[in-house]
Amino acid sequence: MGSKRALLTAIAIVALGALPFVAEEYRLFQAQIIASTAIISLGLVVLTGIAGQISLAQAAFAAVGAYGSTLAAIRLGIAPWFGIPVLAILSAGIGYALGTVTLRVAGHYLALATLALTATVQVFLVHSDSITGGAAGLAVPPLALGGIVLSSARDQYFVVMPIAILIFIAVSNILHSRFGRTLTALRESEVATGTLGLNVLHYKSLAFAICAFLGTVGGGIQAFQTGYLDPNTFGIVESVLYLSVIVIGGFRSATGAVIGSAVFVLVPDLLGPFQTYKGVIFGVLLLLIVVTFPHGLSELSRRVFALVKQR
Amino acid sequence: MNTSDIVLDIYRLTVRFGGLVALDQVSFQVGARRIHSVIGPNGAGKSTVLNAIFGLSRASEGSIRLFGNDILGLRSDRIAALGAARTFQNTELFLEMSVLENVIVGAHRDAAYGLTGAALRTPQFQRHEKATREFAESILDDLGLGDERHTTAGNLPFGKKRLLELARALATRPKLILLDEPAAGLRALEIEQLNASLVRLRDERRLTILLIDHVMQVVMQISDVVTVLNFGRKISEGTPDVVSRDPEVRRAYLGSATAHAEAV
Repeated sequence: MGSKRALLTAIAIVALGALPFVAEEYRLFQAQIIASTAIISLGLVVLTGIAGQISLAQAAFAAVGAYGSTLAAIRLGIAPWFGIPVLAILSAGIGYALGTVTLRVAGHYLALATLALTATVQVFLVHSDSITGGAAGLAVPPLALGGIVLSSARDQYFVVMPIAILIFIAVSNILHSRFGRTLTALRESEVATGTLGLNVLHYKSLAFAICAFLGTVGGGIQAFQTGYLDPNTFGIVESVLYLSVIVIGGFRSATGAVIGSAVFVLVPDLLGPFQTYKGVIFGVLLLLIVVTFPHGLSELSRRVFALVKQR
Repeated sequence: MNTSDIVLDIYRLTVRFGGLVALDQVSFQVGARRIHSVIGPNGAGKSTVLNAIFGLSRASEGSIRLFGNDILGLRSDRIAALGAARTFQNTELFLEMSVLENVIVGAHRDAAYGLTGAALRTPQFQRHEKATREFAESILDDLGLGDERHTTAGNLPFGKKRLLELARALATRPKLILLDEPAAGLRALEIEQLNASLVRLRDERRLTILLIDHVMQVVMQISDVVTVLNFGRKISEGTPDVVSRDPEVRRAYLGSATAHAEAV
C-alpha cells in the first residue's frame, strides 16, 4: 500500500474507533448512514469514475440488498450476515449481464437503459403489495448477532463500521491493482486496451458487477440502520443522488465516495435551522463545490498533502 | 519463403467502404524476423491494411492468417493473444496515466492474480506487481524513456509519445509488431533513433515488424522487404533497391524527380 494511502487509512481507523466514546447516539447513527451511502456510491466510483461507464441503476441494486435481506430475514429467517453477501453475489451476476449489454449501447443510451431498470424495480416494489408491502413500505427487524439484538445505533456501530472499513480497504486495493489500471485504460481508449490483449467487454462487465455488488451490500446495511423501507427512496432520484455523491466527493478515488456521502448526510442536517430555504442553500453549496473543485472535494486532501510535502 | 517462416499471410484482401474499394485483392506475406514496409501515396490503402488485421476495418473478401490462424473477424484481444501488437498513427495512449503505468497495462494480458488476490494483497499479488513493474521499467530503459517513468503520458512531447506506444506494445511480449507511420512528425534525429531501435528489436528480440510509412528515410534504410500499394492495389514488392528502381513504382508513386531523389 502506498504510504499516503496507508496513512489516510490509519487516521480514519483511529478516528472511527474513537468516535463512539465522544459522540452521541444520533451522530453514531449518521456515521453509519454515511458509511452505507459511501459503500453504495463506491460502486459508482469503480464503474463511472474509473471505468467511465454511466449507470442510473444503483438505487435498484440498493433495493435488491435492502428488500432482499429484509424479506429473507422476515420470511425465511435468514440472518442478514448471510443474506446480504448472497444477494450481493447475485447482484454481481446481474450487473455482469448488464455490462455485456454495453456491447450494444453506450453513453446516453446506457444511461437510459439503466434508468429503465431502476424504474422497473421501483414499479415492482410499489405494486407487489403481498411481497414487498407495496407503497406502505416494510418494517425491518433489528440486527442481531449471536442471539444478542443490536437495538441501538451504538451497538450496531461496532459491527457495521469494521465491515465498512474492510470493504473500503479491499476496493481501494482492487483499484490499485491490474483491475483498476485496466478499467482506467478502457475509459481512456477502448481500442488501445483491446489491442493489448485485454477483453474490453469482460472488464466493463466486471466493473458493472463490482458496482452492483457494492450497491447491494450498501443497500442491505442501510436497511438495518433506518429500520424501515420506503419504496420511494429506491428510485431514479436516488440513482442520480449516488452519482452526485461521487461528483461532489471525487469520482476517481474511494475517498471521494466517503467525502461525498458525508456532505450529503451532514450538510442538510446542519442546514436544519434554515427550514424552507434548506434545499436552495444546499443546492447553491453543491454548485459552488462543483465550480471550485471540478474533480471533487477529495482534491482538497490532495492539495493539503502537496502542501505538507513542500515543507 | 518456407511456410513455417511466414508470420502473416494476407491473401486477396478486399476492403470496401460503401462504394469505394480501399483495398482490392491485395496479397503479401510477412516473413519471420523481417522488417516489412508497406508504402504508397496518400489514400493507397496502407492504414486500411493495419486496421483490417486488427479487426477495425471489416474485410469483404480474402483472408488474413497470423501464424497459420485465420484471424479475420477475430476480437482484437484474441489477435493480441496470438502474438501481435500495434501502434496507432495518432497515438492511443492512456493520457491520464503515468508513462510507467501505460507500459504496465501492456503487460496485464497474463492476468496472474484474481480479484481476491488484489483485494487482500496476497504475497503472490505483491510478487507479481513487483515483477511487472521491473519488466516495464526495463522496456522503458531500453527505449530511453527511463527518466520519464513518472511523467503523465499526456505531458510527453509527441516524439516520446510515439516511443511510449512502442514500449507499451512491447510489454505484451509480441512476436509481430505493426507500426502505423511511426516516423510521421518526428525530427531527423528522432528518426535515426527510431531506425536503430527497430533494427535492434528485429535482431535482439527476434521480432517481426510490419510498418506503414511514407518517410523514406525509415522505409529505404531499414526494410528487408517493401510492398508498394497504389489506389488499393499492390503494384510492386521486393527489397528497397528493387522497388525504388521499378518503373511502375516510379510512375505511380515516386513520379517526380524530387521524390525519387528522396527515395535513394
